[in-house]
Amino acid sequence: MKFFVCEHTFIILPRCIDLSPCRCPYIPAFYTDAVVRRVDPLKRSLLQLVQEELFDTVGQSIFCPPISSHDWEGRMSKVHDIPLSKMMLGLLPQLYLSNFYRSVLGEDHPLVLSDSEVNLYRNWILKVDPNSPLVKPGLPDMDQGEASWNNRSSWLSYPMMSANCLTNARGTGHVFDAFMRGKVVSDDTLALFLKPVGTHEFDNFLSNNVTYSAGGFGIGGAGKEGPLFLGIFKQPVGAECTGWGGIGGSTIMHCLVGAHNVTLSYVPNLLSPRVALDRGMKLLSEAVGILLEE
Amino acid sequence: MNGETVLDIAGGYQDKEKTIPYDVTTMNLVFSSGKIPETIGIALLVDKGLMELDTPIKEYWPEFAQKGKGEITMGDILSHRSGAMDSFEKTPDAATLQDDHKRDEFLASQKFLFPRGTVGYRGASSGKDEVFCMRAYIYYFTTVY
Repeated sequence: MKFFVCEHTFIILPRCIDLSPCRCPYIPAFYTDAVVRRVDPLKRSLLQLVQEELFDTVGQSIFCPPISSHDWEGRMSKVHDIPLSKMMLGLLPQLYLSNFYRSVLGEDHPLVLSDSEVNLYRNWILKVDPNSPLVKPGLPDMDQGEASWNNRSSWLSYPMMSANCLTNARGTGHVFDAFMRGKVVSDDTLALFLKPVGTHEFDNFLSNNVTYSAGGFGIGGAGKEGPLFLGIFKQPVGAECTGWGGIGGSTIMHCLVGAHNVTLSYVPNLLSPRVALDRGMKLLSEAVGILLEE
Repeated sequence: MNGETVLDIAGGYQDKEKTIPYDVTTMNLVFSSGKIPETIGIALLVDKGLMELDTPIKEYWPEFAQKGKGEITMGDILSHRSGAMDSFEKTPDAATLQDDHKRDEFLASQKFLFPRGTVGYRGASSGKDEVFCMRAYIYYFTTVY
């Protein structure tokens, strides 16, 4: 399978640089870091705090930009973009022909986007709703020599904990597991961060109903009720799941399955058209299902 | 499971040339999954009594109160209802974002574009990504061919 990355796209299609503003996954995470540097008695950055007090305690690492070319030579992997064939045949037509795709391929086919994803991409790419937050300005476009994302040096030149940091499934899994089992903070603090804020509220950005906790985690629900990740992860009946993921497929979740605490973490280095990678979600969902059966 | 690792596997390759194996210690961008450690980091400070979710951020960072942000709390930001969502009022340059002092000054000066309480994921901004590529492809196939 040939990978077709954005960088190549810009070389091949220089005129696309002049297109109207497009979108990149980005979280204005700077605010949390700015507050942490003022509140922490040691004046640490959010990254320093998280590395020293979370990842170090479980023997794992998290790495935030700036990232030099030398860093890539070690155990860091670049994230590879959606294959062109998948993009052209599996994704773009669905922005117009989603019902046709479903009728031909079936709703469970890995290429078939959910309603939420179709809505999200239509606003994101086609700008069908002028009032959508997705049409507002944000970071500079990468091709002006400024901010960017993915593997570009400009995107990876400033730290945003919730957008452009590198770690792995083992690290995120251990950290979230320790937190959810009450090994990191007191029970009261844990309860505070897990407390639902609203139920099945419409998220103006995601164009989907989501139940968030006070800490911003997604809270799962069975079937289409309060899905954890935009309707992709169908929480099995009998499990209670909490977590979040990243575009392209990284996913971290904790589920209560009967009396068992189960933490699942999945990190791919190949992006998918799905907001959450179909393969990873299926694996995690099936793992929870097997535990339920047992 | 219940504090014990029962499965820890990795497969594939780090590079598209398939020369470097991807193993359990390999790291790569996790994008918004970084919200998990971000939130836990804030929880640590709350747990130590150094911060409260429902205290206005201006109590910790007075300059933040500019342009109507005086009542916004860390809880608002974490639970996706600060009104910031994906946007800045003004587009910063990379140099501003790379410098802690300049970045903070810029952040404090920005008006959040949506009212506090508006539920909206902190999720996107101008830039170009694989979705951009889709637009590029649309452009390419509709203008070149």
